[in-house]
Amino acid sequence: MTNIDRIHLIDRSKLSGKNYFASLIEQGRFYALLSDTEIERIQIESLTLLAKQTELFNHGASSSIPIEKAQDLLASILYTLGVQLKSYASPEDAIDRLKTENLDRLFYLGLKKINRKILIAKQTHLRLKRCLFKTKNVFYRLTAVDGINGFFKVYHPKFSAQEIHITADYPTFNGVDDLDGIEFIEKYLQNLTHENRFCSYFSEIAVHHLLCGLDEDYQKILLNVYEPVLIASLGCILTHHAGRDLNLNHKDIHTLANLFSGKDTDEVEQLIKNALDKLIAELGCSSDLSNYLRNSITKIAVSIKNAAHHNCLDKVFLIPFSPEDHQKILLSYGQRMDDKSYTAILHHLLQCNSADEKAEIICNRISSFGDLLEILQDADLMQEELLNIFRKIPSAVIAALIKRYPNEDFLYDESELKIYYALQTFKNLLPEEVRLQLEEAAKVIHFEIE
Amino acid sequence: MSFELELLNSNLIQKQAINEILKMNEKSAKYGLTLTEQQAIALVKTRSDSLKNAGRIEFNGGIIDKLILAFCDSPYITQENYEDSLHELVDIFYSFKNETIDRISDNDLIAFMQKSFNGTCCGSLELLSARELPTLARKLNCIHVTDLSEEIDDEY
Repeated sequence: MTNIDRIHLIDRSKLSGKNYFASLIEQGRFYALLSDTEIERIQIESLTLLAKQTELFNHGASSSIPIEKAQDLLASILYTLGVQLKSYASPEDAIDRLKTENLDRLFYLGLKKINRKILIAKQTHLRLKRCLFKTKNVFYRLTAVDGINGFFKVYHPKFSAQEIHITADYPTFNGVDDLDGIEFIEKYLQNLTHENRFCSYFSEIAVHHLLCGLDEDYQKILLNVYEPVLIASLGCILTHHAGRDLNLNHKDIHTLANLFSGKDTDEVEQLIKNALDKLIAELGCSSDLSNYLRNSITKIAVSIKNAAHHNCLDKVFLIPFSPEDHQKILLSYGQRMDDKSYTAILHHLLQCNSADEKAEIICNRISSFGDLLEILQDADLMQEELLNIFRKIPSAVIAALIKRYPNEDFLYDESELKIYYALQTFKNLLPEEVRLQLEEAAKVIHFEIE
Repeated sequence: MSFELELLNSNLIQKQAINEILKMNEKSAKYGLTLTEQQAIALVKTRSDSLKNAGRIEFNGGIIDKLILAFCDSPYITQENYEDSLHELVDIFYSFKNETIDRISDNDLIAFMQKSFNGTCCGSLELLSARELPTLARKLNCIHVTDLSEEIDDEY
């Protein structure tokens, strides 16, 4: 019988990517492909291998080792064996090798494979770095360049082959969940390379504007760049724009909403698949990139279906936003008064009982925004007093305060929380039109760094 | 069957260790010191307990044979206190292996123990474990700290 005719008993889905060796033995035993005697032999050989690795680790200077380190060494050995065993055509073939080969030999071959993987991954990384898509998102470059460089620096396959050592902060669209060590990095780099290549079909500025549509501060947000770009380009195809444009507008979102309305996930997936075929043809994607794109479709179809169902397609198909085209007001904290004058005003405020008088003092004697923020915090004002002050200060200053206190996240100081809540109350008391104007004004305010 | 460390550290190791200890009788006998199989088993048990207490693991016969070789010619060890002394020496050894954070090799630690025991300790295991070895551990730690501060100095 040839290999093709072989009956495959082992269910591959039951084999763990991270703990392949142990899961293979377990499956082998379950299907009686490995006898207890054979497993015992494998155990003894793995123990001998561990003793050998321990001696190497200790440079022959110590016969004992802390248990934690021994566990790491054992994990590394089993991982290395797993890498070798994964390379055989089927799990049954791998079990045959386990029966006939000494574990020492399989470990040696596994280590050789890992070293080869390191070389290939380094080449992949080098190519990725040469054509890394330029995005202002800091995590993209930090992980793709510095993080992976760090991995290669500290990765030690001989004694800790299963370690990753770094946190791959930047999330690729298709996650890498069931792999460790160099296998994780290899897969992560493959994913990143595909996503980077796809993003490179689009202009950097178009992607920048698209991501600003998600959040103007996307630079500091841990997000995947590929996903919104792919979805927006598919949206463009579906609304008869060029896929490269990424320039969806509200009208297009409306069209898309009609298109997806009442469709189940399979129907949505079919529409997206057709659009993707057109996009692949338009961009001239290579077959491996096309496969990666096609593998992304199911996940995307679910997001689109859910967004269409909840009437929020604009959260999935992003509408680009150009911050450069919008007014920007740079606000300075202003020239601060000297400590003596400030203390005098604060003392005066704490002495007076009338809310009106307090508001008068603040409006007449405080001239910089920095001093205003400080006095509002230091003067221990009640909500009514704060509201009284807000009524008396110019709208532009209110807008600046709204910008300064957009939400209560990261407000741990009680006095700042008091200002925030008073501001919310004040806003709610305003006519809607005025409130919206103030909120719009707040959006364009940017503070100068103090 | 599992490939957990605890299971791998099985009877096999114990048997190997007992055989290695009994083999040492050939060398120690000329100093009038021998161990029975029961005593060897007890020593291996002490070794297991000491390793467990120290959070360590050992894969071959370990250091009992080395300790026998180093201490069997000591003027302070007789057949009467031979087994007890070995029990204590095993315990002291693993405890100080940790104290010195593996900065000293097995051979060097045993050589230091032997020299101190036969020399300044005049055969007192108490002095060895309460005075000589802590001093050694402190010295080794000082060397480490000095190295570290030199590294920091170099950086700035």
